[in-house]
Amino acid sequence: MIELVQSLSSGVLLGLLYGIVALSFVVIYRASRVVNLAQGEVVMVGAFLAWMAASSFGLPLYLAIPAALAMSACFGVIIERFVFRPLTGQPIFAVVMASIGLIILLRGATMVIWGPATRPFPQVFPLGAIEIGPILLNTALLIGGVITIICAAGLNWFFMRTDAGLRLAAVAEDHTTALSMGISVKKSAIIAWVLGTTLATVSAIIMLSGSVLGVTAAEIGFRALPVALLGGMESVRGAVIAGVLVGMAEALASTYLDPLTNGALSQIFPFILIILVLLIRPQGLFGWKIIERI
Amino acid sequence: MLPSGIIFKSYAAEEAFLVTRPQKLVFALFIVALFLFPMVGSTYLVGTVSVMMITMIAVLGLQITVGMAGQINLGQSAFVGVGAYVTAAMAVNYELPFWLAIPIGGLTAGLTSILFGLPAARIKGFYLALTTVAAQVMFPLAISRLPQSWFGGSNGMSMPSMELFGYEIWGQTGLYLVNLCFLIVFTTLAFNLQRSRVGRAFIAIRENDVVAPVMGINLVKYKILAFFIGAVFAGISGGLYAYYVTYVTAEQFTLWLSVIYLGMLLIGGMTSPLGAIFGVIIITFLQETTHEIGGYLSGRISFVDESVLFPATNILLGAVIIAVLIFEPHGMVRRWRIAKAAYRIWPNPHG
Amino acid sequence: MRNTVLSAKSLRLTFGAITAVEDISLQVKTGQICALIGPNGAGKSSFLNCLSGFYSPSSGTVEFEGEDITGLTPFRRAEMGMARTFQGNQTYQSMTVRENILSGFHSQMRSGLLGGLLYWGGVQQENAHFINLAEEIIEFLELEPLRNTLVGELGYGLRKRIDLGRALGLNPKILIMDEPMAGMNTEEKGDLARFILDIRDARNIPIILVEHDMEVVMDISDEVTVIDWGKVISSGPPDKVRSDPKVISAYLGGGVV
Ligand SMILES: Nc1ncnc2c1ncn2[C@@H]1O[C@H](COP(=O)(O)OP(=O)(O)OP(=O)(O)O)[C@@H](O)[C@H]1O
Ligand SMILES: [Mg+2]
Repeated sequence: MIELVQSLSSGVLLGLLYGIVALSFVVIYRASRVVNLAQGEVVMVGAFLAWMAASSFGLPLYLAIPAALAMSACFGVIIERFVFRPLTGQPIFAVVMASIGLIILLRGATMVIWGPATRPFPQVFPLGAIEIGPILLNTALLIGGVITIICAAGLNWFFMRTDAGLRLAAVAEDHTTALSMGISVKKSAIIAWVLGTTLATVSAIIMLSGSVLGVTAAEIGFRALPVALLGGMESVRGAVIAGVLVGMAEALASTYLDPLTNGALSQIFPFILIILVLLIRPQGLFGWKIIERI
Repeated sequence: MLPSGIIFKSYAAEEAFLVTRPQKLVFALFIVALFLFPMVGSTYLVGTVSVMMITMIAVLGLQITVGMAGQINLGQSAFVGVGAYVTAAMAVNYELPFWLAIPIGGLTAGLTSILFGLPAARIKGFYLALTTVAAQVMFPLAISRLPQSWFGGSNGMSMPSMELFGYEIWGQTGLYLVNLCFLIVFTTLAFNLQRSRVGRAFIAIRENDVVAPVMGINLVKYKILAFFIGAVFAGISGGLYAYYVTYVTAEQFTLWLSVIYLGMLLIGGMTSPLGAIFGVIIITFLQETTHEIGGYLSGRISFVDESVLFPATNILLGAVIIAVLIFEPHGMVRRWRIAKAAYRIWPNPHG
Repeated sequence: MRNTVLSAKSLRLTFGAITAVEDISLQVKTGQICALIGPNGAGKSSFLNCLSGFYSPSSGTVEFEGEDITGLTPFRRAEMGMARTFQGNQTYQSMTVRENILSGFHSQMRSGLLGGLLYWGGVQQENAHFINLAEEIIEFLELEPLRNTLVGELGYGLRKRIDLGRALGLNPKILIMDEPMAGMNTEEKGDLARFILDIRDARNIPIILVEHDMEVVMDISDEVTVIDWGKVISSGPPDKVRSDPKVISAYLGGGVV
């Protein structure tokens, strides 16, 4: 019983980490209709920016983190301006392919600028685990989970309750309508990218606090993409809920199935689960069901 | 390349790739030159071209799935891996000759891809790319967890050499010639497919997958078929690669490699098999040049070495891919066509 | 006596809270040009999409040549000879004119994957045969000079004509057309009206025509059905419908009719 609760609660925390990366996919998609396959690389760049602020510049953490977030915001603006804005109006296929180009570009740039060596990442959150009764919870992930939930709630409020947020949704639905309503597609894309890249940096800090940073940090992207698809690419709360579900499924598989299968299933299981759910609900759990018109 | 003044006697004749006698002659000479190349090229160069030709087959397959049929595939290198491993298992465990082991590897890769294409029955558009990522994640896990006697587990597999009629195919030259033969066959197949009924159905799906079914095309069947045939090409490429490197491990077939394959296709141009060929040539050339320059500079400038130069190639590569998408969405193939058209109306540029 | 080719009975279609088609029935007989008119958003396209299987109606049945096809997929219906053109621009942009039309012959051609890869004699002959058939359509639609042009490079009116050509490739037993003349100038409209009449006369197939241009509709159709808010409000020969007070009020006092 304790094993089950322990496994589930670790799963939830891991899931919330997936959730915040998935959120960064969602905010970008919601306002600019870009499925950014290079989001993992964006997380990686965010991590290196944070590392640079703290270790190279030697700033104290309370300055280093805002500096890293500000640099990520600029980074988002640059990507939007030079990669995706010129592709506005192109088929989604071309946009996805551009994000593939971005994967290659960002990996190359990271290796040139910061080198391929791994390095210790500053310890932002306390190390170790918190004990709640017999259950142990990783402190960094726990704090990170709280941050994820706060971010999701904030974004949800932003998209549902504020004028600016509602406008972003309108842009996502239909560029031409948005234009006719006098909404600037350009501005909303910039907002989307700034939100997306800063969220990615936040998730990088949660993921790496006190551990080791290298180019492998980018792998979180392709682990979180399925989560975003499961939640529904348009849905903020979907990203978090799907993250938790996938995290729990992964934890359960690793506790109960891996001993039987030599430790392979916990990595495959989430994919199988997600594909099965998508077979029943192709738009994801909370995605918008869009019926094509001809 | 069609000179001016050619008149076709039937509409079907326009479908042919080589029309005039000089065209056919030049093409035949080109093929002969390819076969004779190992006599003049250095061993290193012949080896490089061999790897290029193997890669071309994989990217030709990707051209069918992604370029013709418009289905995003992020798992091509996993299918190359399936081909490599199955070929190795056939050659090692069952001692099959290469001309049986490689096709079996190709077909197995194709059948595996059907498994990942099946969700196409319900899942549409971009979401389908997810299953190809799944393939890429599952591949190394499957290899390392399946019984060691099948695929060598995490140790990898060592390959025997190729044999034909009891003679060993020996050295870079021998492998080069085998790879060239495979490349010629598979390039022909890809070009044939493009102008056939199935190829047209693929292109229709790429152009408008909402309308294609209303015009009589079985969307699910053709999507799965596109994955299948693309993966068969990948598997063949994998089999050839296994014989070339003589040792296969799961680490050779990464998501990163799948991404690079897509990059090659994008730069060459997605809409024609020629794009796959161009893309591989351009990127290999880029990588080899960087290698050369790196060798030259590293002794002279302190901070320049391999660890900076290879990533620098990737910066260039990524930037070129994005630039191509922005400025020349049809890739280099379109430039080539424009040049061809200019030649065709020469010497009357306004004709 | 003319036989009924297609009959739709009390179709109903909803999108969430919106009822796009509330209750529409329609019968089409051999050789008839059957026009479907109604204001924007009346549910005309949605109804056509139910006929071609793109949407599944929540109730009602569609019969084609005496067979209930309500549950069939769009591509099966196309194979049976139900062809259509689309509102807006739905051609294959980066294919040439001839390839677009050839793609319409898909369900009549037989060669499969292996044939396509090897492109041997039989497949070449099949291709040549259908290329000649496609050329007949190109000639009929007077597209000869454009046969090797990419459709994406052509104007809107021409694309609509190619859309029609592709539908003819299906060797249709019924032809459904959604606003084929929208966005055309008078001359192009005249051409297209002529093509439509020629198709009907040469192949004796029925045509369902959704069109906003009343003059053309009243001129060429045998039977007119008027729908509004997803329901049939009037139907019959053009002259009768023209003077129906319900139609006149639906069209804001009848200025258009
Ligand atoms: N895919 C869809 N999702 C949601 N609502 C839809 C969809 N397709 C149509 N509708 C709605 O159904 C109603 C009927 O639309 P439809 O396109 O059938 O009208 P129409 O008669 O063809 O109009 P038009 O003359 O403008 O083409 C409209 O209110 C429309 O907004
Ligand atoms: Mg309509």
